[in-house]
Amino acid sequence: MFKELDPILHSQLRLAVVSLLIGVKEAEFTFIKEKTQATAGNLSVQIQKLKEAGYIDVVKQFKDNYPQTICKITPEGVTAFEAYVAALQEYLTPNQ
Amino acid sequence: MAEKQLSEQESLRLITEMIQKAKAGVHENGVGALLWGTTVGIAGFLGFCKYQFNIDYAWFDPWSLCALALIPQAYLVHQERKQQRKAKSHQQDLLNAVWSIYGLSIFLMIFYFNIIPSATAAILKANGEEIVRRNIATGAIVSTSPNVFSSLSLLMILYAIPTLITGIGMNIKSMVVGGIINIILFFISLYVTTQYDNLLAGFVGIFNWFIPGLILRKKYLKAQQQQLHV
Repeated sequence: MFKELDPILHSQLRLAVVSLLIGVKEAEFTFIKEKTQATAGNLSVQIQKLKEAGYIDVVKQFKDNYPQTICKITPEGVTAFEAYVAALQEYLTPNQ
Repeated sequence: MAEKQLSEQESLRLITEMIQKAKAGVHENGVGALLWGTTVGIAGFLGFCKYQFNIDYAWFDPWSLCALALIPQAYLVHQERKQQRKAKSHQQDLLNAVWSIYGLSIFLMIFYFNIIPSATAAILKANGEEIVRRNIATGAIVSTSPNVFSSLSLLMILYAIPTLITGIGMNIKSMVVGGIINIILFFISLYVTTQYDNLLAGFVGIFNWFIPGLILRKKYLKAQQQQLHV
């Protein structure tokens, strides 16, 4: 019996965001936008969904008079990501 | 990137791609290493020239360059990072702490070198004692002030610590090689005079930081160029 893939993570842009954040301590919104090549609007919506799920923390602040959004993966996000990767491995190697 | 459901293979491919992009996005820019390597290199070679060519720098001690250079360097590195950093890696906080403590240790060590001779002389004097040098051939005895022998060798031990931690922790091969050369030069410095200690310390600056700094800078600029062309 295969584990169900986490619906929050099993979407292209949300998975891309969490995969980026797993490799760094924290990242600015502009960094994530640049790496995922997503539109600002779509990215904002997906980041909000990840935040509501408790997978990422979002801090909004001002830096040199410009608004700055910093995203950081939470321990819950790390656990969910690890579970997602483990479930994927089961799908790809079902005989093990 | 549009929103769509993924197959399992696509998910794995995306995860790998994003982790690699995150890694590529947090390149060290090499500015700190270049500046510090240049400072230590110049101080070492000026120190060597002082002995080799009997140059009198009067009030100027070449090694005070290092202490003077720490503040503008810290400012420049901070400014460049502030402008360019959009993501922070897990190791950066740890490495920042290592390099800050290293900077503080350099200050404390220089403080130690300057205080110990006069403090020791004062303690000896209070006990009615002093340190003297006796010429073996003539038997002539002259009063001398206590000093820290081969102080640059001690500094060389300190130089190797942050470089090796950074090199091993961040997998920067040029810094690991520089740190190993640093340790070899430290051993050599134990057997040569202060004149050559200066030269060796200058080489430590070149191998430990200047060359790795050039390599890091080249990689960083290349990564920046690639990002512009994506």
